[in-house]
Amino acid sequence: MGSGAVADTLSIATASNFRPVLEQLRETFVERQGQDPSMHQITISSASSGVLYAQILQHAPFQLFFSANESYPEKLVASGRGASETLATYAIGKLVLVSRSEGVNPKDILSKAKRIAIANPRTAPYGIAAMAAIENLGVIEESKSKLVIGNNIAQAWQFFHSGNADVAIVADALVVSARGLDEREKPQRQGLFAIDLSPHLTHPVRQSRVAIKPVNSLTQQFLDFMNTAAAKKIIVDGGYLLPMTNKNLKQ
Amino acid sequence: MGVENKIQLAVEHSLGRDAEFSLRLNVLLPGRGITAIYGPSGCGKTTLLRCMAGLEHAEHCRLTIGDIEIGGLPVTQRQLGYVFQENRLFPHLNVEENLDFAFKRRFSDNGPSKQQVIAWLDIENLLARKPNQLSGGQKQRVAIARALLTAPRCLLLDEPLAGVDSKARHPILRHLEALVDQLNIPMVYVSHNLDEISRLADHLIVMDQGRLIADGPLLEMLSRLDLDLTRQENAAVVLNAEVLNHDDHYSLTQLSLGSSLNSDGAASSVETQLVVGRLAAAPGNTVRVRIPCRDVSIALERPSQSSILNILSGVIVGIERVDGARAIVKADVQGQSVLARITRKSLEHLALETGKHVYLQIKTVALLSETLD
Amino acid sequence: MSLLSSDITALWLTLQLAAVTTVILMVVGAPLAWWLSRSESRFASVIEATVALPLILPPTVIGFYLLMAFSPDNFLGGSWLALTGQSLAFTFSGLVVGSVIYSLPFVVQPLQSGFQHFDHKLLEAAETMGAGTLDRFLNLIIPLTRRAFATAALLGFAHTMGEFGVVLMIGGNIPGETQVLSIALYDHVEALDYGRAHWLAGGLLAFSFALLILLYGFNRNKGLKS
Repeated sequence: MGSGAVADTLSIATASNFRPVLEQLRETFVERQGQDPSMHQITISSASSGVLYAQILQHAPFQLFFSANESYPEKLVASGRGASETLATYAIGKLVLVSRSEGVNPKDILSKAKRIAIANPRTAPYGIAAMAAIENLGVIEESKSKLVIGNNIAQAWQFFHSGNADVAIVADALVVSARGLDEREKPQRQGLFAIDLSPHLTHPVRQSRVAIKPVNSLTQQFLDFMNTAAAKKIIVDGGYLLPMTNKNLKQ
Repeated sequence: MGVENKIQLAVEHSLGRDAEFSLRLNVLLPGRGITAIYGPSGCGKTTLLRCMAGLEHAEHCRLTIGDIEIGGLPVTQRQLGYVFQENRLFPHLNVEENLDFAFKRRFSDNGPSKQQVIAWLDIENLLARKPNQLSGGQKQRVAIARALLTAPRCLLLDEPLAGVDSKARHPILRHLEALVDQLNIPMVYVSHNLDEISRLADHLIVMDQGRLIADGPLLEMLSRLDLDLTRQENAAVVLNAEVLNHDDHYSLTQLSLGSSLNSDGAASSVETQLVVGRLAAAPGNTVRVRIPCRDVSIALERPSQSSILNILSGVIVGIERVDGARAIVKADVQGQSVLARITRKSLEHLALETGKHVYLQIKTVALLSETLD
Repeated sequence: MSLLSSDITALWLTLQLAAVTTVILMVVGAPLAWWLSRSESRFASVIEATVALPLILPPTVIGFYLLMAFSPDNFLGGSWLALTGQSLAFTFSGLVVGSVIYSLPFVVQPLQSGFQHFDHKLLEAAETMGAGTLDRFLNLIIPLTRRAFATAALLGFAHTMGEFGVVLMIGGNIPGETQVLSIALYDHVEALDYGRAHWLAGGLLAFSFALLILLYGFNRNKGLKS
């Protein structure tokens, strides 16, 4: 590598649920580049989408933003901070109902549950989706008093995992990475059952991303990488669905 | 509470992790008047007092006043007033409120009233003040008043004048003396100050290293040659004397040891009289006088032509060597004892021995029961 | 942008939590502080360290372990469930448990300090006057350690008003049950509702400030050497 070349930095802000997948993507990307890893710095910060959005508006130094919804990236483009040509849906979140007892019917499971942990419907896209699913299943009234609101799906998961909530509605991506950790650390102590709630959603959770102006070359390279088959496989394995092609602006 | 209600006290107690100090005592105290507990510091007198009050949990403490068994009771039920060395007035209450604290919790209604106590200790003008606005002497007067208001069956005082400067001591001592007459409860007074004890006490307990050395009536104890008391530099005897008359021309007062009339009706001889500076007390009253041993010298013949007015005649009843150079001679004068500290040389030179009739020249007679004002 | 009823609910809930916690801490903390002030056993320093822990531990650590402890599978959560039929997590009771731990040193330490400065010899004097234990406590100890009691109560209260990290971990954000003021505020910020956030943040700031002025004014005024 030529010395004297200035290294690009790529600071990525991502919604927490996408982080595990993003880390894998970074790993693969860096390998692919085959370059001296010290030449480029790709850092990942995760938090809830709303918090990150607010920070970026306040000129936090991120180059790329992976949100858990569509509206924050759209707003960033509207405000002039986001590069409109980089706006795209990168994944569709799979909403799942997790419980410890085996069941097929989510409506039943929700009815029998004592405590239902979800992410905050006011601030987290998966929380909004969870409420929508509960409503569509027709159990909204009886469920309201049983809801336990986590700050984000990670906390909703923690409530469930610690045994304090018997049921949780989170992103499948979370369950995938949690299962992976569990298997690595210790054998499954209890059965973990996840039911896909996507059929009960009118509006799936569409996760969009956008690059923050000015777009440097490393950012562009990463975005190109995300369109590759290898990247897409990682995303699907991570518990997401891929968006339909007509929503995919190629850049 | 009659005169015959004696106080029986038996204490066994160890202090310190390895029982470095132990207290063992068994003594009978009179049921009225002031009993003083005297001893060098560290002898255990404060510990003894605290055991009496129950503030120290002695291994064994038997305390009976009259026929009331007190030793097994908790502190709050012993009904013993306690005056501490550091007064321990409650800082958040003013004087009156401090008194009320005690009065509200008094053990019986037979005790003094607030008014009485305020008058006795002369604290009327201090009532609205807070403790931090009082002098050391004033605080102790309040502390004594407060202890009295609980109507205790006995008043315990632990070196109450230790923290009071000498000028302020006299008024308090005066109040305490007056109290003995006012109250019919006994007082136990711990002190290492012989002057205070000489002035106040009727009965004396001498302690050392946690043990009882001797006990008995004060006057007798102060002239006991076998006790360490009499070997102290400032050793002195105390005598009771009756006021005979006043000499206004020379501003003097004549006192008589023994009765003013001897057995055949004639006026007592000069040799049993003492002359002191003009007193306020009227003839007929009894006063206490203190005669330091070092201020008494002995002559075989009655000295004439001497500036010393006080010359008593008496009979030697005991002699004790003090150290290499000195000895103490005890003489009986009208039934009371006077000690003289003289050199061994004089002892031998005058061939002094018990039974000998001698004259005692007294250089200083201190009044104990009055200040000369 | 004015306060909505949910904000008022959050305020009321927070006041209740602070009040209940403070009362419990005063009742439990005073004897503990007294014992600590007079104890000579080596065990006392262990207790002191335990009491001081919440001062230095991040509230999230306390919350993390509490969440585990509250689980019905574990001892605390399980016994509570058996006793009351309710879970501890996500309930007001759970918050009280968390707050008591979180604010413990803010109550015990001022009390202990006050008691240490208290002249125990005065108690002996009162004893000889026939004052029993409760009598001495009410008429001697409390008046002379007033400052310590005031400090402990006000600090405990104010500190609980501002509790966030612990509640975040174990509360579940349930309006009227566990959504305290600090959580509601956080919610507004996350939802970008800065107007309402200002109301709550400003209000909490003003309230805490007023409480502290009250405390320091009171202490100065008393001027008692306690």
